[in-house]
Amino acid sequence: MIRLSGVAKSFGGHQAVHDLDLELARGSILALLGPSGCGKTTTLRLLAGFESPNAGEIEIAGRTVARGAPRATNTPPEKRRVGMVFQDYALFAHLTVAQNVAYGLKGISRGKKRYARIAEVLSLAHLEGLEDRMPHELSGGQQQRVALARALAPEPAVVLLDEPFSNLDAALRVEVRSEMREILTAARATAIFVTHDQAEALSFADEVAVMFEGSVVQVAPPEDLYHRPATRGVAEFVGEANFVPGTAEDGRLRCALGDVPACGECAGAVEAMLRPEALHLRSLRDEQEIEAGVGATVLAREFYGHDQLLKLRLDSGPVLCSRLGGGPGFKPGERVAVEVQGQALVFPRP
Amino acid sequence: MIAAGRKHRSGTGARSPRPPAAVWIPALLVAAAMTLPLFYLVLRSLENGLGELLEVMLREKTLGVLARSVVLAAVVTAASVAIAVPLAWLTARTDLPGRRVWAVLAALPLVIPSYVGGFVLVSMFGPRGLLQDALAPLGVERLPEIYGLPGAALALTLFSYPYVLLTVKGALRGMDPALEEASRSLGSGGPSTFFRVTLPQLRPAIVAGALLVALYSLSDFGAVSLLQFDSFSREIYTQYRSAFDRTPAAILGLMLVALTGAILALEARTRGRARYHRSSAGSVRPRGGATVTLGRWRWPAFFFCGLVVLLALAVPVGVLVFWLARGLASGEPLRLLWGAAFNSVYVSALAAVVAALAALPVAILAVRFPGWVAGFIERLSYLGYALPGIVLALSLVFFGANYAPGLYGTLALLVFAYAVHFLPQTVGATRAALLQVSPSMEEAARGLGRGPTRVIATVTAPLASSGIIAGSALVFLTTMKELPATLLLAPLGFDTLATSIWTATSEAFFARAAAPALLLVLFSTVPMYLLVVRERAQ
Repeated sequence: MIRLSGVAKSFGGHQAVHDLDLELARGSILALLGPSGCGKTTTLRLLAGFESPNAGEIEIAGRTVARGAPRATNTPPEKRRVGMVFQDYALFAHLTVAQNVAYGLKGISRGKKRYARIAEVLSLAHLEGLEDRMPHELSGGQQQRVALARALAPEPAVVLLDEPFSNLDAALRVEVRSEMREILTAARATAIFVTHDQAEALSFADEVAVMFEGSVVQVAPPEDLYHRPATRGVAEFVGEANFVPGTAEDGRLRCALGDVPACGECAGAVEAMLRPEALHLRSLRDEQEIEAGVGATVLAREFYGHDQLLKLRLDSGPVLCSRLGGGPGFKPGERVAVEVQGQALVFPRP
Repeated sequence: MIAAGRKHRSGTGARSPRPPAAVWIPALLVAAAMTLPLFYLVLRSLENGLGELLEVMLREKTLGVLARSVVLAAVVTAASVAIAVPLAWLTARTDLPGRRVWAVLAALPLVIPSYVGGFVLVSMFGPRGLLQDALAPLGVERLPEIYGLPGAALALTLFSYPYVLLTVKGALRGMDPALEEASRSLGSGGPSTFFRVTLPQLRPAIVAGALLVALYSLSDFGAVSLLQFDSFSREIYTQYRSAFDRTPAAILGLMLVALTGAILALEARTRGRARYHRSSAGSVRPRGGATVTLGRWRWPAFFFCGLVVLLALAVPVGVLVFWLARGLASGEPLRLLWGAAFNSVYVSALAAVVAALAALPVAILAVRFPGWVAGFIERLSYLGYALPGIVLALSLVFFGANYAPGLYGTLALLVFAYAVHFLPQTVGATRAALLQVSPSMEEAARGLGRGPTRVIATVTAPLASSGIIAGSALVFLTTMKELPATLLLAPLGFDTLATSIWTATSEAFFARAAAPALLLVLFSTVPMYLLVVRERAQ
């Protein structure tokens, strides 16, 4: 169990993190997601013990490891039982793969137990046969796995990963991501990783914590986060979102897209969020044909293969996005009818 | 910009605020040791009051020394730039015949210590010298005077112009070729491009190299002494040797320190700008620029290179070999040489180890715990550069005689002097090596359960070892060549290669000086070779 409560940290006059609350159950993987400069890396470093909080409390596996003033305490990193995987991997260039992995096993003296643990971790990370290589002789993905194996070897209470995939090229990233996920699951490790890539966070983590400007805005499983973002900011940052003004009442929303089922805790003048895939399109050859939905004109199309994104202008003015499957689509200039499938999520209008 | 700002914070200011005691206590001790000679020099200069300080400073004789030193530095610097800039351009950018060979040979005179160069000039052109012997049958009675300014300036120029050569060549190689191409495409011809684009870009490199040369000529002791030119170094030594009251020597020393300090400050400023120039020139293309066809200037250029290399390298080595052969033929014993060589190696190795150990805490502090304290301590560690060898030695002689008679005349004080003098080299090398070690490696080690001191021992030091070793190798070799501190501080009867050359030359036993001189030149070739190899590898 990892717990941060009311944590604050500032550098000079700049508040990097403030009023930060976060909890993570044993064995689950949390993504800290946010734009650059939002304090997510600072949060990770506070957990690892490379920074000390100005206020609040940090608890790892039932032990308070850091507390801000008053009664400030700060357990040094080496006594926290955290394993850290660095963005640049930080493999010890003067040690072999096996020596890197063994570095943290100082509690276990030489002998069978030590070798058994090294072998176990190496096989867990699919590194058999690479024991005697030097770090520079490995591919990016292999280096990544060594860094993870090294962090896992001393059986830490939590593994911290700082932008773990940012150094890999796009083609390799997806593959390494699923490998890493497998390794972490097999090791039954508790892990927290930092990313600014929402796709990475959604696909990798059990829970995602979204951070803006130094504090956590929402913590939720990926599906909830995507479908029920807590604020407009979260909705915009996680996935694409359409926003239309409207009036909400009794679970219905009246807006430029007609009368739409709605969820959310406010009524009256609202801002409604609709994911692009909730907008279904039909070709409109004859204007009299409209039975359901509203008329619109296609402005532009981005084709991605597995899906496509269409930019539309509703006849009433607003410009929206719609996501369709990878089949034949609509051309710019074409007339379509737009129909909402599913619910709109409403936020109070700013 | 935001991302960069965040990185900067998490990389530096955000680290554990206080360095471990195992780092800052030794670093403070080193800083204290570095300030000791300068502090004592100031103290000693003021011994007879401010009045005498001013009186000695304003003496006509002192002002003469000051003027001579400045003139010497100016002449040597100007001549070095005049030789080195064309050489650098010819060997880096043109179709000069044998370009690669000239590139190596032209840098090599750096391996000849100034007092060996002085010895070569004296034994060649001096009275009873080789040239006079050769010309005597032709009825030539007198040669133009080699002693004084012409000889000293010639010796220093010939053996220090490579400083400018190397910095300018580095700049030529690092230059973004697109700039010259842009100039050509904008309608400037070859020569016009050189003067309007290339040369202005070389300016910081020329200034940096020139300041090194100026510094070298001010602090040089060997060449000016052998060629009897009364600049600061020689005058300080004479005062120290002959005068009963040694305060004037201390005052002269202080003046010299002020002069070198001023030049160092200048150098630091241009270095900062040079760095800025390099980093701002972003280009992914291989650097260096196009090769210029010399055409009918090919052979004049070839002879220019040949003349410089002949005077600065072939003649000195030839003269040394000649004297060695003559000495061996007349039964000069080599026994003395081995003893001196052993002493040189022994004391240099000690100095290298001490300087490497002293540099580690200072460099760690500067790189990993930056702040004004760390910055201040690092600056102090560079004091060795501002103290010319003769001044440093003088100050330690005073100190030893007055406060530590037990230390005076021991090897310990000599090694201390070397360590203070050459600490900048190990601090610089260690600092550079530490910058290559990513701080996240140290953090990874902390996260894996090792305390800060253990991390230094198991991760930081091994990873930086190549830089640390390179730095101490440099100290080893510069210590071998060091003359004035060895002369003043070596225990009685402790002869090194450098002091053997000095003694033999000042008594005009040229044949006796040749063997140790050649040996020293050979030793000095090692770092030069490494430098050239590294340059190639880039």
